[in-house]
Amino acid sequence: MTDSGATIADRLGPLLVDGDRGGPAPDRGPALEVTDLSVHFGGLAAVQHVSLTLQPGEALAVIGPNGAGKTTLLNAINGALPRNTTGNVSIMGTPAPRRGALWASRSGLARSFQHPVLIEAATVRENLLLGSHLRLRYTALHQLIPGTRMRREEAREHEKAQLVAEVLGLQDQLREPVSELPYGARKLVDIGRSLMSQPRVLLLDEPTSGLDARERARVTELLAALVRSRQVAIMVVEHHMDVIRAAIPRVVGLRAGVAVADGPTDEVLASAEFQTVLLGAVDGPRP
Amino acid sequence: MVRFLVAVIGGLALGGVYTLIALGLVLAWRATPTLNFAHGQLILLAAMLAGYWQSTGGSIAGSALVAAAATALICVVFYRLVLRRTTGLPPFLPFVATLGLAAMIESALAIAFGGRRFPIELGFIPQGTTSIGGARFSSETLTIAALTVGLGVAVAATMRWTRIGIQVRAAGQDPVLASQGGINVHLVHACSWIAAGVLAAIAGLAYGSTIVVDPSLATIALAAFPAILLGGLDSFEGAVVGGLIIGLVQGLTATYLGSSYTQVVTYALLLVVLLVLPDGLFGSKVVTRL
Repeated sequence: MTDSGATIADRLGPLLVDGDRGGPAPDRGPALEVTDLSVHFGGLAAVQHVSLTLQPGEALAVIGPNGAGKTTLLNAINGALPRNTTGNVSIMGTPAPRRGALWASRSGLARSFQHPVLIEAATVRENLLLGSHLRLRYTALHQLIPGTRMRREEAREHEKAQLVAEVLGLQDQLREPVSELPYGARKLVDIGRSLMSQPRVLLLDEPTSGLDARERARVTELLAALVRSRQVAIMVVEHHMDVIRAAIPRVVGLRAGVAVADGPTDEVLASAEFQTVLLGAVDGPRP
Repeated sequence: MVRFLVAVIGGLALGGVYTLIALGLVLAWRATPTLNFAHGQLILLAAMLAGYWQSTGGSIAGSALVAAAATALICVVFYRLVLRRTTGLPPFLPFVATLGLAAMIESALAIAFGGRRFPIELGFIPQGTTSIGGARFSSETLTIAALTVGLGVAVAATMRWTRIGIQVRAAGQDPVLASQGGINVHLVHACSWIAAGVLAAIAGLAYGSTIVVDPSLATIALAAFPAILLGGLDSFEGAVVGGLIIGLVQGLTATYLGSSYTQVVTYALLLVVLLVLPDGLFGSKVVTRL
């Protein structure tokens, strides 16, 4: 529950329903389909032949020890590593060309970062609004002189930023420069920015790392609300198993760049693969 | 008083040119963190082409278009073929690339024009003199000062308050984050370099109209480096303020101490400011989180 008593799901409703896109995604196949994805940095195979499918509204968590390739997998899906990646990624049924992160974001994919990437000189509000850029249909003229329609749309995005800030507990810090925020608040701003674009596919990279207990509870509640809404497909890299158990119904386990487990959360976390391989015990499949 | 006015007006005219040069340098820096050491050669190229065009009977409008198109084309091709490929590589590589571009432009101009010198006539600018506070000033000088300063302020205001300016600043500060927001970073960077080229052309025409254009004109860009360091390497507002301050300081120094003291006073001022404000007057302060 937020401080006002309303559930996060209630408050997120207007944010998640995409009026411009006419509601939930049309049935064009999986929200995210990864086929035989590999990432190499020189001789190092960071991700090896990973395949997974995420349906619209579905959620999965990617777990694994440090160096397993979890963030690299997200970077590859996001289009941040076009020269190092082989295999195929499709977003909302459309294969991704090797055009980088811009194509992915315009296809409805948004992400947060393991170490929050923000515009340091800008305020919390301005950083949140960066996520709105995709939704504001600027013409060349509007880039210089916004008209009435554009100002109306911008006002709507400002209201949305206020809503996101309230959901994340940042409403009192909207005017502060992010350079002055503690690490936990910066993580929340990064997550909020990714929500502002009303994505079809949301990638969250360790959203609760560096957060205190109260912040982690807020993010866990937010994740659970997003999952229940089934409005957005979610892939989250996470180390806190309590967060995964509370919010995410499916888990994919990575070790040394290889997917070694994929299934319902309770099953995977109780399995021998999790206990021995993903926790880094002695025996287990070698890549 | 008359002497003071002469110094100020002259300084503003020079400061306006520095402002345009500084803005071009800042645009290139914000796009691809590169100090464009070919900027002076771009200014020279624009002035030479405009002067040559006029010498063959062409109009001022035609000469301006040719000059701006040439510099813009060189900048966008250079960005596309060279600077995009240096992304992620050590920072000295794009720096060396701009030195190479400078050498290529100078050599090409030497081959094309040899030792020829060209005047530039800005026919649309009022001729004659204007009286201000008892002093008489060239109307051409006053007009160029007003136009260059006005254009510099307009560019800085565009970068500060328009949506396209936000895109340029976001793409320059963090290309990854800007891409996440749907900003076509490569397009924004290419347009920044085109704008830098056009500003170089305008600076070349403005400054070239006050002298006779010869290869030494390229050194004007070096004279503008104190302006961007004073204002802040990544600040558009700083480029305007820095350019005007340096121009005024040089105007006042030349009038009251003599032109041989202008460089000494300019760099002494720069040193004092940087000791107190290492990032310049408006430059972004680097925050290191421990």
